[in-house]
Amino acid sequence: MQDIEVRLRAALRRKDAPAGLASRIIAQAEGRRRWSLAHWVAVAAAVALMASLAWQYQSERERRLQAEDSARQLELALRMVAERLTKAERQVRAPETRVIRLQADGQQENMQ
Amino acid sequence: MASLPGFAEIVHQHQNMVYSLAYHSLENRALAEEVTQEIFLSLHQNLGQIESAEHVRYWLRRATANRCIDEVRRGKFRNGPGLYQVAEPAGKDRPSDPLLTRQLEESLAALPATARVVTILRYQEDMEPQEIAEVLRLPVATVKSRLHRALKMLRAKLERKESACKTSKFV
Repeated sequence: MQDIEVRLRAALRRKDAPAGLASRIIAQAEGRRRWSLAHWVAVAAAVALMASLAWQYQSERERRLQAEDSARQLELALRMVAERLTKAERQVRAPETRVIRLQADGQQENMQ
Repeated sequence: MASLPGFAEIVHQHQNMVYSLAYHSLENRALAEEVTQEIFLSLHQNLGQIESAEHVRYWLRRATANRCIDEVRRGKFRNGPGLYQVAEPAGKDRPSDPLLTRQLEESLAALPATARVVTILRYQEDMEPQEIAEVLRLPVATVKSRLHRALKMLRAKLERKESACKTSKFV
Protein backbone atom coordinates (compact mmCIF):
# COMPACT_ATOMS: atom_id res chain seq x y z
CA MET A 1 0.00 0.00 0.00
CA GLN A 2 2.89 2.33 0.84
CA ASP A 3 4.37 1.87 -2.62
CA ILE A 4 1.14 2.69 -4.46
CA GLU A 5 0.76 5.86 -2.38
CA VAL A 6 4.25 7.01 -3.35
CA ARG A 7 3.53 6.26 -6.99
CA LEU A 8 0.21 8.10 -6.84
CA ARG A 9 1.83 11.16 -5.31
CA ALA A 10 4.34 11.18 -8.14
CA ALA A 11 1.75 10.65 -10.86
CA LEU A 12 -0.72 13.16 -9.44
CA ARG A 13 1.69 16.02 -8.97
CA ARG A 14 0.23 19.41 -9.80
CA LYS A 15 0.65 20.32 -13.45
CA ASP A 16 1.31 23.79 -14.76
CA ALA A 17 -1.79 25.35 -16.27
CA PRO A 18 -1.42 26.11 -20.00
CA ALA A 19 0.31 29.38 -20.80
CA GLY A 20 -2.12 32.24 -21.19
CA LEU A 21 -4.97 30.49 -19.38
CA ALA A 22 -4.95 33.00 -16.50
CA SER A 23 -4.96 35.94 -18.92
CA ARG A 24 -7.87 34.44 -20.85
CA ILE A 25 -9.85 33.88 -17.64
CA ILE A 26 -9.18 37.43 -16.40
CA ALA A 27 -10.12 38.90 -19.81
CA GLN A 28 -13.35 36.89 -19.88
CA ALA A 29 -14.22 37.95 -16.34
CA GLU A 30 -13.56 41.59 -17.25
CA GLY A 31 -15.69 41.17 -20.40
CA ARG A 32 -18.52 39.66 -18.39
CA ARG A 33 -18.25 42.45 -15.80
CA ARG A 34 -18.46 45.08 -18.56
CA TRP A 35 -21.32 43.26 -20.21
CA SER A 36 -23.07 43.01 -16.88
CA LEU A 37 -22.59 46.75 -16.30
CA ALA A 38 -23.87 47.55 -19.81
CA HIS A 39 -26.74 45.15 -19.23
CA TRP A 40 -27.79 46.95 -16.03
CA VAL A 41 -27.45 50.36 -17.69
CA ALA A 42 -29.70 49.11 -20.52
CA VAL A 43 -32.20 47.70 -18.01
CA ALA A 44 -32.20 51.00 -16.07
CA ALA A 45 -32.71 52.97 -19.32
CA ALA A 46 -35.57 50.67 -20.35
CA VAL A 47 -37.22 51.04 -16.94
CA ALA A 48 -36.84 54.84 -17.09
CA LEU A 49 -38.33 54.90 -20.60
CA MET A 50 -41.25 52.71 -19.52
CA ALA A 51 -41.88 54.91 -16.48
CA SER A 52 -41.79 58.04 -18.63
CA LEU A 53 -44.21 56.51 -21.17
CA ALA A 54 -46.51 55.37 -18.38
CA TRP A 55 -46.45 58.85 -16.82
CA GLN A 56 -47.17 60.47 -20.20
CA TYR A 57 -50.01 58.04 -20.86
CA GLN A 58 -51.45 58.63 -17.41
CA SER A 59 -51.30 62.45 -17.67
CA GLU A 60 -52.79 62.31 -21.20
CA ARG A 61 -55.59 60.08 -19.90
CA GLU A 62 -56.28 62.47 -17.02
CA ARG A 63 -56.33 65.43 -19.41
CA ARG A 64 -58.72 63.61 -21.75
CA LEU A 65 -61.03 62.64 -18.86
CA GLN A 66 -60.99 66.26 -17.64
CA ALA A 67 -61.83 67.50 -21.15
CA GLU A 68 -64.65 64.98 -21.46
CA ASP A 69 -65.98 66.07 -18.09
CA SER A 70 -65.84 69.75 -19.13
CA ALA A 71 -67.59 68.90 -22.41
CA ARG A 72 -70.32 67.08 -20.52
CA GLN A 73 -70.77 70.05 -18.17
CA LEU A 74 -70.89 72.45 -21.13
CA GLU A 75 -73.42 70.25 -22.92
CA LEU A 76 -75.57 70.18 -19.79
CA ALA A 77 -75.34 73.95 -19.42
CA LEU A 78 -76.26 74.48 -23.09
CA ARG A 79 -79.16 72.09 -22.75
CA MET A 80 -80.41 74.00 -19.70
CA VAL A 81 -80.07 77.33 -21.53
CA ALA A 82 -81.84 75.89 -24.55
CA GLU A 83 -84.66 74.64 -22.34
CA ARG A 84 -85.04 78.06 -20.73
CA LEU A 85 -84.99 79.81 -24.09
CA THR A 86 -87.62 77.43 -25.43
CA LYS A 87 -89.72 78.04 -22.35
CA ALA A 88 -89.31 81.82 -22.69
CA GLU A 89 -90.15 81.70 -26.38
CA ARG A 90 -93.21 79.62 -25.61
CA GLN A 91 -94.30 82.22 -23.06
CA VAL A 92 -93.70 85.07 -25.53
CA ARG A 93 -95.76 83.38 -28.21
CA ALA A 94 -98.64 82.45 -25.85
CA PRO A 95 -102.09 84.35 -26.63
CA GLU A 96 -102.45 85.68 -23.02
CA THR A 97 -99.06 87.27 -23.27
CA ARG A 98 -100.14 89.08 -26.48
CA VAL A 99 -103.29 90.47 -24.84
CA ILE A 100 -101.31 91.76 -21.92
CA ARG A 101 -98.91 93.34 -24.33
CA LEU A 102 -101.71 94.93 -26.34
CA GLN A 103 -103.30 96.23 -23.14
CA ALA A 104 -100.01 97.63 -22.06
CA ASP A 105 -99.59 99.33 -25.44
CA GLY A 106 -103.13 100.91 -25.14
CA GLN A 107 -102.40 102.28 -21.67
CA GLN A 108 -99.29 103.90 -22.95
CA GLU A 109 -101.24 105.60 -25.77
CA ASN A 110 -103.88 106.95 -23.30
CA MET A 111 -101.25 108.41 -21.02
CA GLN A 112 -99.71 110.29 -23.88
CA MET B 1 -18.65 43.10 -7.16
CA ALA B 2 -15.08 42.64 -5.96
CA SER B 3 -12.25 44.43 -7.75
CA LEU B 4 -10.58 42.59 -10.60
CA PRO B 5 -6.96 42.92 -9.38
CA GLY B 6 -7.91 40.73 -6.40
CA PHE B 7 -9.48 38.26 -8.75
CA ALA B 8 -6.43 38.23 -11.04
CA GLU B 9 -4.24 37.45 -8.06
CA ILE B 10 -6.52 34.55 -7.10
CA VAL B 11 -6.41 33.17 -10.66
CA HIS B 12 -2.61 33.28 -10.78
CA GLN B 13 -2.33 31.72 -7.35
CA HIS B 14 -4.77 28.83 -7.83
CA GLN B 15 -4.84 28.09 -11.56
CA ASN B 16 -2.43 25.13 -11.28
CA MET B 17 -4.45 23.54 -8.50
CA VAL B 18 -7.79 23.84 -10.32
CA TYR B 19 -6.34 22.84 -13.69
CA SER B 20 -4.54 19.81 -12.22
CA LEU B 21 -7.66 18.60 -10.40
CA ALA B 22 -9.65 18.86 -13.62
CA TYR B 23 -6.86 17.39 -15.75
CA HIS B 24 -6.32 14.34 -13.53
CA SER B 25 -10.07 13.76 -13.16
CA LEU B 26 -11.13 14.21 -16.78
CA GLU B 27 -8.14 12.89 -18.72
CA ASN B 28 -8.65 15.63 -21.26
CA ARG B 29 -6.54 18.74 -21.57
CA ALA B 30 -9.11 20.83 -23.47
CA LEU B 31 -11.94 19.89 -21.13
CA ALA B 32 -9.73 20.55 -18.09
CA GLU B 33 -9.00 24.01 -19.47
CA GLU B 34 -12.69 24.65 -20.11
CA VAL B 35 -13.62 23.50 -16.60
CA THR B 36 -10.86 25.68 -15.08
CA GLN B 37 -12.18 28.73 -16.94
CA GLU B 38 -15.76 28.07 -15.88
CA ILE B 39 -14.79 27.49 -12.25
CA PHE B 40 -12.91 30.79 -12.06
CA LEU B 41 -15.67 32.70 -13.85
CA SER B 42 -18.15 31.24 -11.41
CA LEU B 43 -15.88 32.31 -8.55
CA HIS B 44 -15.77 35.81 -10.04
CA GLN B 45 -19.56 35.96 -9.91
CA ASN B 46 -19.55 34.74 -6.29
CA LEU B 47 -16.62 36.80 -5.01
CA GLY B 48 -18.96 38.77 -2.78
CA GLN B 49 -19.60 35.66 -0.70
CA ILE B 50 -15.91 34.82 -0.23
CA GLU B 51 -14.61 35.74 3.20
CA SER B 52 -10.92 34.80 3.25
CA ALA B 53 -8.02 33.31 1.30
CA GLU B 54 -8.71 29.97 2.96
CA HIS B 55 -12.33 30.21 1.87
CA VAL B 56 -11.21 30.81 -1.74
CA ARG B 57 -9.16 27.60 -1.70
CA TYR B 58 -12.00 25.62 -0.12
CA TRP B 59 -14.51 27.07 -2.60
CA LEU B 60 -12.32 26.28 -5.60
CA ARG B 61 -11.60 22.72 -4.45
CA ARG B 62 -15.25 22.08 -3.75
CA ALA B 63 -16.50 23.57 -7.03
CA THR B 64 -13.85 21.80 -9.10
CA ALA B 65 -14.34 18.43 -7.40
CA ASN B 66 -18.11 18.54 -7.85
CA ARG B 67 -17.84 19.72 -11.45
CA CYS B 68 -15.35 16.94 -12.24
CA ILE B 69 -17.58 14.30 -10.64
CA ASP B 70 -20.49 15.56 -12.77
CA GLU B 71 -18.36 15.57 -15.93
CA VAL B 72 -17.02 12.06 -15.29
CA ARG B 73 -20.53 10.75 -14.66
CA ARG B 74 -21.81 12.46 -17.78
CA GLY B 75 -19.00 10.82 -19.73
CA LYS B 76 -18.40 14.02 -21.65
CA PHE B 77 -14.67 13.46 -21.55
CA ARG B 78 -15.07 10.53 -23.91
CA ASN B 79 -16.21 12.80 -26.76
CA GLY B 80 -12.96 14.74 -27.06
CA PRO B 81 -9.42 13.54 -27.49
CA GLY B 82 -8.38 11.83 -24.28
CA LEU B 83 -5.28 12.41 -22.28
CA TYR B 84 -3.63 9.42 -23.88
CA GLN B 85 -4.36 10.57 -27.45
CA VAL B 86 -2.79 14.00 -26.96
CA ALA B 87 0.96 14.13 -26.63
CA GLU B 88 2.18 15.41 -23.30
CA PRO B 89 4.10 18.63 -23.88
CA ALA B 90 7.68 18.50 -22.72
CA GLY B 91 8.16 20.45 -19.52
CA LYS B 92 9.60 20.55 -16.06
CA ASP B 93 6.56 18.80 -14.58
CA ARG B 94 6.99 15.71 -16.71
CA PRO B 95 7.24 12.67 -14.42
CA SER B 96 10.40 10.59 -14.31
CA ASP B 97 8.66 7.34 -15.30
CA PRO B 98 6.09 8.14 -17.99
CA LEU B 99 5.11 4.50 -18.50
CA LEU B 100 4.30 3.99 -14.85
CA THR B 101 2.47 7.28 -14.69
CA ARG B 102 0.45 6.33 -17.73
CA GLN B 103 -0.45 2.98 -16.20
CA LEU B 104 -1.54 4.71 -13.02
CA GLU B 105 -3.58 7.29 -14.90
CA GLU B 106 -5.29 4.57 -16.92
CA SER B 107 -6.09 2.66 -13.73
CA LEU B 108 -7.31 5.85 -12.08
CA ALA B 109 -9.60 6.50 -15.05
CA ALA B 110 -11.29 3.15 -14.43
CA LEU B 111 -12.34 4.20 -10.92
CA PRO B 112 -15.88 5.47 -10.22
CA ALA B 113 -16.24 9.26 -10.34
CA THR B 114 -16.27 10.01 -6.60
CA ALA B 115 -13.51 7.52 -5.78
CA ARG B 116 -11.37 9.05 -8.51
CA VAL B 117 -11.84 12.58 -7.23
CA VAL B 118 -11.29 11.48 -3.61
CA THR B 119 -8.01 9.82 -4.64
CA ILE B 120 -6.89 12.90 -6.58
CA LEU B 121 -7.70 15.22 -3.67
CA ARG B 122 -5.79 12.92 -1.32
CA TYR B 123 -2.64 12.51 -3.42
CA GLN B 124 -2.53 15.66 -5.55
CA GLU B 125 -3.60 18.10 -2.85
CA ASP B 126 -2.32 16.03 0.07
CA MET B 127 -5.63 16.50 1.86
CA GLU B 128 -6.65 14.51 4.93
CA PRO B 129 -9.83 12.38 4.72
CA GLN B 130 -11.50 14.86 7.11
CA GLU B 131 -10.79 17.76 4.72
CA ILE B 132 -11.96 15.75 1.69
CA ALA B 133 -15.16 14.89 3.56
CA GLU B 134 -15.77 18.59 4.21
CA VAL B 135 -15.12 19.54 0.58
CA LEU B 136 -17.35 16.82 -0.87
CA ARG B 137 -19.85 16.95 2.01
CA LEU B 138 -19.54 13.23 2.61
CA PRO B 139 -19.15 11.35 5.90
CA VAL B 140 -15.48 10.81 6.81
CA ALA B 141 -16.07 7.07 7.00
CA THR B 142 -17.32 7.09 3.39
CA VAL B 143 -14.25 8.99 2.22
CA LYS B 144 -11.95 6.57 4.03
CA SER B 145 -13.70 3.49 2.65
CA ARG B 146 -13.69 4.88 -0.92
CA LEU B 147 -10.03 5.75 -0.61
CA HIS B 148 -9.22 2.32 0.74
CA ARG B 149 -11.16 0.59 -2.04
CA ALA B 150 -9.62 2.84 -4.69
CA LEU B 151 -6.10 2.02 -3.50
CA LYS B 152 -6.90 -1.67 -3.42
CA MET B 153 -8.27 -1.54 -6.98
CA LEU B 154 -5.33 0.50 -8.24
CA ARG B 155 -2.80 -1.84 -6.67
CA ALA B 156 -4.55 -4.89 -8.11
CA LYS B 157 -4.69 -3.30 -11.57
CA LEU B 158 -1.04 -2.28 -11.46
CA GLU B 159 0.04 -5.74 -10.31
CA ARG B 160 -1.94 -7.31 -13.15
CA LYS B 161 -0.36 -4.93 -15.65
CA GLU B 162 3.13 -5.49 -14.32
CA SER B 163 2.76 -9.25 -14.39
CA ALA B 164 1.34 -9.02 -17.94
CA CYS B 165 4.39 -6.97 -18.98
CA LYS B 166 6.77 -9.49 -17.42
CA THR B 167 4.99 -12.40 -19.12
CA SER B 168 5.10 -10.68 -22.51
CA LYS B 169 8.85 -10.04 -22.08
CA PHE B 170 9.51 -13.73 -21.45
CA VAL B 171 7.30 -15.00 -24.32
